[in-house]
Amino acid sequence: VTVPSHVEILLVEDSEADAELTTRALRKGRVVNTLHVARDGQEAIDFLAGATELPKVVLLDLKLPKKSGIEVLEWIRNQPRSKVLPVVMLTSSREEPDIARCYALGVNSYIVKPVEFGAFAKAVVDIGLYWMLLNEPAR
Amino acid sequence: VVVAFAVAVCTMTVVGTLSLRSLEDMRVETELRNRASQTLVSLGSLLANTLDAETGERGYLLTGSSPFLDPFRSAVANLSRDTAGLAQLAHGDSLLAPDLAAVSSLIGQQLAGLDSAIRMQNEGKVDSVRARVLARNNKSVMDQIRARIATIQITLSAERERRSGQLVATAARTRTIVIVSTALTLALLGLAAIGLASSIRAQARSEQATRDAEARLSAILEQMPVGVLVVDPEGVPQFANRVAKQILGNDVGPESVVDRMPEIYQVHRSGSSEIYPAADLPIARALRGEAVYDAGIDLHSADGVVPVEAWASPVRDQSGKLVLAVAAFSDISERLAAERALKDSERKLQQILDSIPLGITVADHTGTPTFVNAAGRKLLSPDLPPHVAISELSRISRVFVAGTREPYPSERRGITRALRGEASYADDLEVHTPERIVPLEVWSAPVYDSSGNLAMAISAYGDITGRVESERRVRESEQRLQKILDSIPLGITVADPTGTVTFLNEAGRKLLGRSLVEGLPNAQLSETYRVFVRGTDELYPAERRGINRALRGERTYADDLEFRGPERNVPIEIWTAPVYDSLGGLIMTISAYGDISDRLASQRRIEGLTERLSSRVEELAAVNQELESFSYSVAHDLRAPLRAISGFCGMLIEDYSESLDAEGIRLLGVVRDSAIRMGHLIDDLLSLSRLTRARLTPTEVDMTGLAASAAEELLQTFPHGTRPPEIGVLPRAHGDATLLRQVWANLLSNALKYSRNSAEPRVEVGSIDGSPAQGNTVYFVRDNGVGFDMAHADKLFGVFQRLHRTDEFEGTGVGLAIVYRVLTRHGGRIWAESSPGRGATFYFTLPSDPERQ
Repeated sequence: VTVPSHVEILLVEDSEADAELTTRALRKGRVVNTLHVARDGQEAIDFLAGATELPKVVLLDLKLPKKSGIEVLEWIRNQPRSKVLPVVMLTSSREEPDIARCYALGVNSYIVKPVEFGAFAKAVVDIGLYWMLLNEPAR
Repeated sequence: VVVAFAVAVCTMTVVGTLSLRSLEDMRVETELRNRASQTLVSLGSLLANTLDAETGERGYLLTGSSPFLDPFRSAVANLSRDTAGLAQLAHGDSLLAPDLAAVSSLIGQQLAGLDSAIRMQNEGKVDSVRARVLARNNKSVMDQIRARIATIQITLSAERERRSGQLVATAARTRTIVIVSTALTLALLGLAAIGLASSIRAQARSEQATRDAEARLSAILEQMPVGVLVVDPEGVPQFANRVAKQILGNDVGPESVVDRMPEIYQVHRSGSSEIYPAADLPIARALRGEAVYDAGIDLHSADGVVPVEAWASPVRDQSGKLVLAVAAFSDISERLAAERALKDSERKLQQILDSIPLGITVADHTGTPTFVNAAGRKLLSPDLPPHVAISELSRISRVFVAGTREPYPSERRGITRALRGEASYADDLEVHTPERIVPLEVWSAPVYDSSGNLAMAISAYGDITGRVESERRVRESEQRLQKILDSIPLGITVADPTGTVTFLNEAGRKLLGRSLVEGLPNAQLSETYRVFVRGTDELYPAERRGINRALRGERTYADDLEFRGPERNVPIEIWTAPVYDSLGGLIMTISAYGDISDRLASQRRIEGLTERLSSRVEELAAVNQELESFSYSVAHDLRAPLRAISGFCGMLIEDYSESLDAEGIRLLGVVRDSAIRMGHLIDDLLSLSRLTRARLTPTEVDMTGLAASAAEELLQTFPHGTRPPEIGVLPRAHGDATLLRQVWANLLSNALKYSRNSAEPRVEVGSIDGSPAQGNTVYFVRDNGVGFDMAHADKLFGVFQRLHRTDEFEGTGVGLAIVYRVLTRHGGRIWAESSPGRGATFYFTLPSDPERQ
């Protein structure tokens, strides 16, 4: 696994199309320079475990192969170093139980992916802007 | 005194006799002297009259005048009287008689001569008359008469002198006698007076004693507690004591004679207003010699009526003459009142006895009934003779030994036994009346007087037809019950309070395979009837047995036992319950039990089926689970490709628009819109499914606030300048706030959407107060939009049902379906009114808070 020297956003997304759409939206919005995409939960955990420096924010899908988004979130919150790492759920599910569970595990934001491309792109850019530029991370 | 009196009387008699004789002598002497004097007077008169006669004749003769004849005639008349008087005086006097006779004869001769001279004168023989006168014939006769009278007068004077002398002597003698005898008498009277004085004193003493005795008698009579009245034979009251006056209410005096008593004292016959006849009064009858008693008298007074009884009887002296009548009487009002009270009390007692529904017979010590009350008469014989011996009673009243024609033996009768001092009860007898046979029960007892002697016997008896009948019915009912119990296909066992089985029905006998063992102790039940815990060789334990638990008051059910018969084992279910009497005392336990072989078989079948069913349920749950995950997949997995389609179309349009002509771009736009639309469909479908499954959490909901916030949020998605809905003040409702918010959101969204093309779009939210009939508040959302044709109203609330084309009004056809679901789940209702081009109004209601009602 190649570990980029500095990653600002970790995108955990199994859908290639969604990953591409997200990446494109963030790039087009000129929000981010370095972005790493993990294709399943395990990969995300491995990446975070091996990263010398944590990303500024993790965009996490719920439904993932190997380890689900919930498991990944749980893992992140259980690690002392990533305890306060900003995590934004970026998912298709607006199921109430999912939302409640994520917030219970300490997610920072829960975003339902709009189907409409324009809306989706806008949402992603807004997230990026917020977490990358406006948010003051914990030290 | 008597002697003195006798002597005095004798003396007085002697003196009296002597005095009388002296006085008689004096009287005779005096009489004789008086007669002599009278004779002398008469002789003088005789002479004078003779002279008068002769003078008168001479005058006539001389004058011839008749008035000279009057002295002659009166002299003649006097002469005849004097002559008769003299004759009378001389009668018995021998001394005077011859002289007097001679005088009389001479006078007669003279008168005859005078008379003849007068006659001659009358005849006119004057010469002869003259001759006669001249002859002086008359003169000689006259002289003779005078001589004779003189002689007599001398004799008589002498006689009178002698008599006077004698009279003086006699008077002297008489005086002497009188003086002597008076002295003697005085002496004797003195003696007698002394004697008499002492005698009078003795008499006074005796009279005092009599008076004392009378006073005592009076006092006794006075104090007698009855009225005493004494009357004399004339009916005049002589005595009335205090009580008599008190009862009579008036004083008794001499005027209250018997004849007037009824009137004075207002005496009446008892109970009558008429006055009592005086002649019938006891005292009046006593005066007639009767001895009388009468209690039928009333005395009326202002204070009321006093009833009186009276006795009266005559009182006779020694000779048997009625001298008095005495009456005694007393006020009997108290006694009558007491008698009345006694009678009342007897009558009351009799009424009480007569009102007792039991027959009562009282017999005296000989066994003769003296009283039978009304119920008794009715029971025994309506025409029972008043006095009938107990030995006769059986025959007359036709008392028989129950159920036979055998007369009830006298010695077994209650009265007979009571007279032997026994108290008894019997119910083995009956009375045969003409109408029917009356079974009786009889209690009898002896009655003793205060000194402990058997005084009478009393029997009380009643008709027990009812009891006998009910006993018969009970018997019949028991038999019927037994038949019923025997025909019940369940086994029935009855146990007494000691736990001993006393009854076993037919089915029970069959199930147990044996008949009832009488008097079997409870402890041996399981062993004797071979009752086992099902499926084991353990005898059913006594403490778990239904009978024993029912005896402790439990109602039990058990199906863990079996009867082990010679042929087969019968699995049993058994219900046992205690049975109480009306006072709550446990009188028995009853058990019902049945063969549950069939049931156990069915149970086993059911258990198999249940098992299969539960596996099916698990399958269903799995299917449901699949459905859940399907929904989830729809949400995630279907939306992802759609987003890709939409996103990549967008990218194409953005990045390669130069390479595509207008048609290419339009087509890409169609692809992208379709993907977006499908995304909406999926979203709505998922939200419909979510709403259907979501749990309701009803609370009190502020409908105004809810509608307002939904409208505000909604306006964000509508073009700027869209006129906000007008929301009135809405009543609060009871429901799930989240879901109701969705209702408002969907209805308002529709209203805004379908009215946006109107000249002046207007959306109004309001409510109509619940009418008493409708009950609940009706909320409504009204718009002035395109409306719809009511012909299609039935499609309004169906899923994916639309009344407008998508290019007219976008939408998935799920909004109203969601509204309909939410309201239906709340128990509410929704309907709409519209017509094309005239707007639409959607109404809905929600039920009130069930807890608040």
